[in-house]
Amino acid sequence: MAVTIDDLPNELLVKIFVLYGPPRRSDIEPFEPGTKPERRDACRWAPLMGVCRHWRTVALETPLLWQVVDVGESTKWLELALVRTRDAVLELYFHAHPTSVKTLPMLLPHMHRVRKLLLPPMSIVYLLFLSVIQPVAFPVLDELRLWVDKPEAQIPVEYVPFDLSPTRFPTLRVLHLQNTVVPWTAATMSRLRYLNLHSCSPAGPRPSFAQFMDVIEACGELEELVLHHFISWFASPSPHDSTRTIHLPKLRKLVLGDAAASIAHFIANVYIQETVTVRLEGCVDSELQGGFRSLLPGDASHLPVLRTLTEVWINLPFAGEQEIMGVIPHQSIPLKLSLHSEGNFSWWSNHSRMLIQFANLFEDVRLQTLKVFLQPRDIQPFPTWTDLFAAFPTLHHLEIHPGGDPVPVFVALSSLSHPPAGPQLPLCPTLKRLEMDYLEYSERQHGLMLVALRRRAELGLPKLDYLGLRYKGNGAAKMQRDLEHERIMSEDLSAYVTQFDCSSCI
Amino acid sequence: MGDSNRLTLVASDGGKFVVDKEVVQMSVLLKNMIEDLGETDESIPIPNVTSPVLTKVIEFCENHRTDAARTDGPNVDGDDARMRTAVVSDWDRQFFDVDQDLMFEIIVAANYLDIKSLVDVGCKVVADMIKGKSPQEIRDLFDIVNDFSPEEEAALRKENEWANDR
Repeated sequence: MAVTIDDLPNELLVKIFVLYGPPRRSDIEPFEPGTKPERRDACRWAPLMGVCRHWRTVALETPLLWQVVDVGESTKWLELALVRTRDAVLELYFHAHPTSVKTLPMLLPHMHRVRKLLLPPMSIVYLLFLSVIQPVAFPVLDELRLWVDKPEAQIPVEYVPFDLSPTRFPTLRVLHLQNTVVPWTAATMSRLRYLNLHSCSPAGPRPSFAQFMDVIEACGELEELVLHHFISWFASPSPHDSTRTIHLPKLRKLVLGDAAASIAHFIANVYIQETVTVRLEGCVDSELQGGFRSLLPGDASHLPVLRTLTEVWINLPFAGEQEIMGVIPHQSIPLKLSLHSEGNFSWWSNHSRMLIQFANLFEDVRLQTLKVFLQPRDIQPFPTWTDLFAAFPTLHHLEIHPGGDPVPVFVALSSLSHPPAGPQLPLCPTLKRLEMDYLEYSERQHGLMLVALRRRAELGLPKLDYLGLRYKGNGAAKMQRDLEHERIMSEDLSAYVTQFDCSSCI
Repeated sequence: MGDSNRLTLVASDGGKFVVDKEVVQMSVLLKNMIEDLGETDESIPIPNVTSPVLTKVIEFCENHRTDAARTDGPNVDGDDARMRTAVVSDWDRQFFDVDQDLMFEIIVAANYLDIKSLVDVGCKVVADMIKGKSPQEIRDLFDIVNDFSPEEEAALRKENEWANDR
């Protein structure tokens, strides 16, 4: 006997209803700081109730389908949802429509079964809601998010902080607040698994950095910690304050966005296991001093992932964020260090210094792959490349984008290290693959490249497996012509390179 | 004594299938049965599943045997989110490129045998089939009779307006 969709058990029909909805952005990527979660479209399946009585009956008898509610202008749907969820837990997603105020009296009797609550502050909805629910307990609330559309001011809103005490919120595990005053106490924070604070400030008089760390130390359950513009609200530690080593054993993700010095203070006190995905986004003033080093304490041993990376990309654009990314190919970025300036800071004049600072920071890391991205086309002087290459003797793969004039790179690659003590050694002795693009052709370039490669051979270094040079304009054709002429006259590049790819950049 | 790593499944129409235990254990129902039976040469009857359907179910399990471990564990929320964003793979879509009767028979069998990954993919394929279609188009697709009265349809239209009005 044929089986039709009518023969599916009800629970499978419900599953189809659930999967019928489009993916939510929040399913794909977590909320970024400062962004409001999109409307959930939780009842996208609703038209399916119009197919036949059986489908409608299944929908009406399944509280699960109704429990996620976008609270907006209409109260009609909310009324239906409150009845049809029966006693099931609720997830309420408020939007900033002033008319949603009408829903508050309707919702108050149901607060005992609210599992997730997303509220937009800076609106009449939020302020009214706060005053109405202050005495209410939320016995099953697991997740609380308060966010803003657009911050209207840089300072947090001045109001009585939300009472997040365990007696009112005994099951709270996920807390995401923006532009609010936070009761920064161990009692409030220690049970959280996910904490995201963006542009929040601690309640009361300015606490000390030690008080900040006391609370962090109590948060042993944390799996994700995201703090933007929060640490610097606490008084900086004095030089006499001793550092400690706090372990957060369950932490999987750490994101800190703040003044670079505040981030460095944090890292000095918390041991970040290698398994944690780390994003450190530091803001620096116009006096760039330590570069990426300013994000880390003098002793970076609390960040052991630094020492385990094998592939790093350094991205130094003309403006905006300057980044170092530790990369695990095809997987993730376990470490990202970024710097930005709130002023009109011209980074490019510091790029040479930043490359050398980067080399100092990662010295001794057994990097195999290094990719350098520079904007504008930035012809770094030969000593910059020498210092950079000297830091990474295990390098197999080097890419420079854009390369500009490749000669300083080749000269550096044929140089010897100049250590303060000990023997001089060839740079990048294990290099196998070199790629540069956006190159500019010049007439003597091929000759200088051959000299450098010959010098590497004379130093006993092996041939390159691959050399890729991509030129602007018709530079590739000219370079190939020059090399062909050289091959006929005296010297063949194939003595130094197994595969040579010279082409035009796209 | 037979191969201890394989066992025989018997479909409702008597068809016999010798299958690796590892593959069979993607079915929670059969996994529990094997644990209860211990080492045995006895065949396992699958009374609710015909040979053509069991052939397809085994084909799916053999193809997905290496990702079986990934189906354990995630909570309900995470699972829903994962399935909503999951794109049905080319292989899975090809697998379900069969007539509707067989498609629903496979889903029902997967549900009976408790093979979560096959149930998930089957439901996702059906959800994708109806995505963007009006109720009438869905009725036409699955040969469903519209049994609503005009009054009920009017009430439904109103509810849909409320849903869109939030």
